[in-house]
Amino acid sequence: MAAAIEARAVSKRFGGVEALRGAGFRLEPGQVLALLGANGAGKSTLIQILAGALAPDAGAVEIQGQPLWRPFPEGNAGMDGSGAARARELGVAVIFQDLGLYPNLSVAENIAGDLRAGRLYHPRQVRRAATEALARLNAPLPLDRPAGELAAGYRQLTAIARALARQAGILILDEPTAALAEAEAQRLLELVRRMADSGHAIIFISHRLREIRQIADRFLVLRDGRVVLDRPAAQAGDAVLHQAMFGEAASALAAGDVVNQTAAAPPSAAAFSGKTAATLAGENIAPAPWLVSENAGSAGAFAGVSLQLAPGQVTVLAGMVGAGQSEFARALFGLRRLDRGSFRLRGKTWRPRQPRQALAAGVHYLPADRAGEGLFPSLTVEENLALARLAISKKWPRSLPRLTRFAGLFPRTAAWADAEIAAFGIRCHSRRSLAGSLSGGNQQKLLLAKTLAYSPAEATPAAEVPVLILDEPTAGVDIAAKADMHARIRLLAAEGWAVLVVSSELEEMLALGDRIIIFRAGRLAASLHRGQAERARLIAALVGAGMPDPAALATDGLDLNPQNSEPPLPAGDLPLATSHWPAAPTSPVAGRAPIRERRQISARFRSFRLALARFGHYETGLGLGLAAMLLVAGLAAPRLLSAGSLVSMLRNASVLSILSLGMLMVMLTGGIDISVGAMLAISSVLVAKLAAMGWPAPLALAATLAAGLILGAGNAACIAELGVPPIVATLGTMGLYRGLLLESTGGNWITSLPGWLRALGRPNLFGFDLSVPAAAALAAAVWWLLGRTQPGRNLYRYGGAPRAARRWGVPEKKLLYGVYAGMGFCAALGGIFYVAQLGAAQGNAAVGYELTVIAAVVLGGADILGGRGSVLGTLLGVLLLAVISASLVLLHVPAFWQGVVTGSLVLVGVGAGQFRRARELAR
Amino acid sequence: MNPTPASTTPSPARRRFRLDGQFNPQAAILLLLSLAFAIFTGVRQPEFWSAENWQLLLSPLAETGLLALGTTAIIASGGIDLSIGAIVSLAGVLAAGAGPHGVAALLLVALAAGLACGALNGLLIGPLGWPPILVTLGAMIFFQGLALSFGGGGGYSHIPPAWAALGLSPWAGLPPAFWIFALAAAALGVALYQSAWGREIAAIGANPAAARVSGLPLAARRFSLYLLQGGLCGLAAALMIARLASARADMGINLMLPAIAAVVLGGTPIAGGSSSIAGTAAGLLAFYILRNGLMLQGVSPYLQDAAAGALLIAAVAAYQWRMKSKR
Repeated sequence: MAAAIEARAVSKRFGGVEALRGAGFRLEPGQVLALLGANGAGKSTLIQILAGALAPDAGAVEIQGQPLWRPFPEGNAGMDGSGAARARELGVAVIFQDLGLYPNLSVAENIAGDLRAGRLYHPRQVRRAATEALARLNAPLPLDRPAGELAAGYRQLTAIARALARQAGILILDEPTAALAEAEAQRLLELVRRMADSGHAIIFISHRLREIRQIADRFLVLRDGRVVLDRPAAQAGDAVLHQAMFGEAASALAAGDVVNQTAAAPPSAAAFSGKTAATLAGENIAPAPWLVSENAGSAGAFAGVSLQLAPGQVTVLAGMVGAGQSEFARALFGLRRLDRGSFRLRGKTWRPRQPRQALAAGVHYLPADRAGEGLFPSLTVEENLALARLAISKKWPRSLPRLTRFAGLFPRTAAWADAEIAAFGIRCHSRRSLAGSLSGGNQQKLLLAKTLAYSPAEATPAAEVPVLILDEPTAGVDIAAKADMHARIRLLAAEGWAVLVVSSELEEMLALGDRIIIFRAGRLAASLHRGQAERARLIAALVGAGMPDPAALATDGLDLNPQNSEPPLPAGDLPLATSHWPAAPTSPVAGRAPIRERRQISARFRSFRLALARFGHYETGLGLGLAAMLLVAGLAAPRLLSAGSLVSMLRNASVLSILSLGMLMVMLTGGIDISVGAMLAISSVLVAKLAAMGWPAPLALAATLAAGLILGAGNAACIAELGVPPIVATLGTMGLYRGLLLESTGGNWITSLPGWLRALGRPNLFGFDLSVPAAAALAAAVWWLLGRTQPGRNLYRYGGAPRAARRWGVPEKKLLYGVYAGMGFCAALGGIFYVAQLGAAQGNAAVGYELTVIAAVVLGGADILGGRGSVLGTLLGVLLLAVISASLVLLHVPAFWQGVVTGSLVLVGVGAGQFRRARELAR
Repeated sequence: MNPTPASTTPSPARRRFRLDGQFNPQAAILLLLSLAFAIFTGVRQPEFWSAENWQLLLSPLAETGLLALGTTAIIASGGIDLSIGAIVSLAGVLAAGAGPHGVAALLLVALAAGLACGALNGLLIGPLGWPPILVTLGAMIFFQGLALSFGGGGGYSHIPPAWAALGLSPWAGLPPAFWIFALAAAALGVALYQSAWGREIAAIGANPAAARVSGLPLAARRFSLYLLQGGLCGLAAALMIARLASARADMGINLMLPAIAAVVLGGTPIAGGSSSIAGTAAGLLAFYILRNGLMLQGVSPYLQDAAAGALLIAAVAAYQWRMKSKR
């Protein structure tokens, strides 16, 4: 039988760096391979090659006996997605650390949305497939909730369910437990083992040796791009692995002090505690509470939290993901509001409204989300440090060079930055390297340095000893650096800081905590002091069981029978075997009813309510606003509500709605098209000219629509082929198209139109002209396309998460061509009716029209960043603009004021959108 | 260390290349190309190099340039201001209305109107945190509507002669407006790349969430940017009135696109996080040399617009291509 994966002598270099040097290995079905290595050892590069996302420079990779990469492939570009598609075909599923979910789409669509290769999208089939995949995981997730609103653990599950739904035979998990708390990590490990036992081949990457040992059949260690160890788990002891990962020098450190800690506190930490006590005693400071939380609560995160932080102590907040400990830490720093209870800082009420205020009061915070909230990637290491320092105190310490490049401006920080880089062991080319160019582990070190830029060496009055809050401070760092960071944190506590660490890693809790406080489901569950905090007890407290039998914690105590969903548990009832995942977070709508009850509400009604809540509030508001506006304007000018006036309003709105539907599709992808006015003008002139030249109607219309498609494809080419951002590309083509048009027509009017063209704009159908049914048909077509076809869903996927969409094989170029050519088609269609209604064409027609179109789509609730928007909202936005313009005319308001009203309305719409978003974020 | 595989780089487009206050090859190429075009034009039309022609070229360049300077800083912060042309129209109409009361009144009204418009944008974008592209889109329609409402369709021509004379009399061979622009460019360059204010703006553009958590004053910095832009718009309106010796309610309408185009041409990435003032200056020069050269060679103004649009796409495409080959 062929190996699941066979890699031979794979090499890859990036510029001057050799990431992989002849790495090779073999993985059989049913095996779990643990891939280890320090930061920068080449693990990420290897996975990307296996995923087909990167082409190796040399070497070969075979999956199930089929070649994925042949030796010396010609071209070797590999970034066009074909390699990734081939890897998927061969059954490889990679779950990267960032998971690649679409935050704007429902859990069900994330799991099974693009499962069927067909062109149509069936929401019910997708739900069914997603339900099946989740049932195999025994994980009840809310199918209709956008994935972006889930906690990290549930997002991880969604990603695994996605791979399961695809029947992937080979699963590669890149640090899947990094964002998970201990108990969830255990459940995940158990799940992985079961999957291996049922025949999956699995590569598992983790920095946490203890947990990976529970499931690994074989260990593969990379160092500097080479395979330095590849042997069965039984023959690879911890000491051997550490030596392999870090070389000879590090082995003593790693094996002795850091990793193999047992339940007792390590000697170094004990020394720290002793020193703390001594320091405090010597200075006569009682360890009085510094920061007090009294019955604090924040909706949807935590409630009734009362605890005290003392100076000179490290308090660890532990718990499962989503148990509220992270949110509690954020509330202390002013990143989340309290609904109930209060904080007190140094005896005074503490109610920070934003981070600035917290920093000014000496409360410092290290965010868990390094890329999202931590660093400035396009700024240098020096600037990252200096700006943090500057934000914390306006006065630079005297020890820094006081020289400034210009008087009173940015102080010279070179020497200070170099000292910080050395002190924190940040490996970078120089202080002027961009922060974004550092490896993950070094970015984390920089983040810690940045958080601690307020150096403890600066003497602070005892009454203002700072509070330090660290959320997962050592995520993604290798063991040696981790030990160093832990020592640093203990040192700060020894100097009297009150330190709060949110951690999900058992070793870290034990190494750091003077006190470990455990959160469960948003409430305090237990508090352990250093002496009491032995491993078994801690695990028990984390998962909420009684005292466990220590034997149950050994790896061989696991019951890994995949057939049995409720296996007999060892004494102590530890959740190491398949037990239920914790109840998923309740949805905002049905949050009041418990999950069981909610299940009884018919699925259809529930999804209807959810859909209404998720997408409908804004549209409902818009509809009500429209009705109110009609009513008010109707009272002032009753003629507005006459049938004739309403019909002509729709006629006036039809061209705008045709263009807005095209723009909606463009904006769903996160793009914009500023050239629509120019394209509309070209089409109207073209159709008028062709008609005037005596072309038969069908031919002239077809030629005009084709021209629209070509103009739109021109935009797409600039964006997709040349890589020009849409706003710039269409700004350019706007000038180009309009300039060429005016050059060829010279601004002359074309008025001699043949009868058939005028007839298109004549109100023959109950007062409507043909443009109204055409707009309605287009709206129906776009609605169907967006909601019921895979290409339509791809717009939402690409707009919500472009990188994920590319990775999962959304054809980016095809999509961009489709969208922008579609926009050109809509502009041409609009142009035909424009000229038909006006009875004349001119090169200067519709100057500035793009703004009206964009305003209508934005008013309709589309997100300018992409991934969000609806046909209904867009049509309502168009109608709103039409009603305003008609009312102003009837109320005899000078035409000039129309801009003022439209502009204010857009601003109001933007404000309403912001309000909606703020409320969503608050939930 | 880690050879930056794609999955671990948060935003590859932003971090590959650094512009802030450093050599900017795109600007250099642009300058070389414009120089070549200038020489070509000079050979065919010797009056290209005449002092009068450069007066004609540099005055509008300076007015657009003031807007482009503010736009550079705003794009660096991750924002955009679409309302600049409308602010110029509004400030111009109001200032020209105050013209009969003297030069001081005209200048004061122009600046005050610009600053007030900028303050409105800044208030919504800074303290309230609304998205810049939407706020300034609405503001653009709003301000332009106000300008039309106040100014009507006609023009103002009661401009104080002393002020109108400024548009005609060169200082040291170059139009006064150009000197004002050069001074503003130098000042903004120092502020953007050497001061904490400028570095904070780049940081906000690079990662707004991190800026918030790091305690940078986001609301205040954003407010200051749009306020500054408003003031620059007011100044540009006043200079435009001096050059044209009149004002119209649509006088600013055609300034927004060249201003943004010059910034993008100069290599400032539209995503924010870094910027290049020198690049913006080069972009302006290229844009106006092309325009002026084509005009001198008798090319219709329509084709000038088309050429400018093509140039914009070509420059950015070249930049993207260079970035891609650099990987």
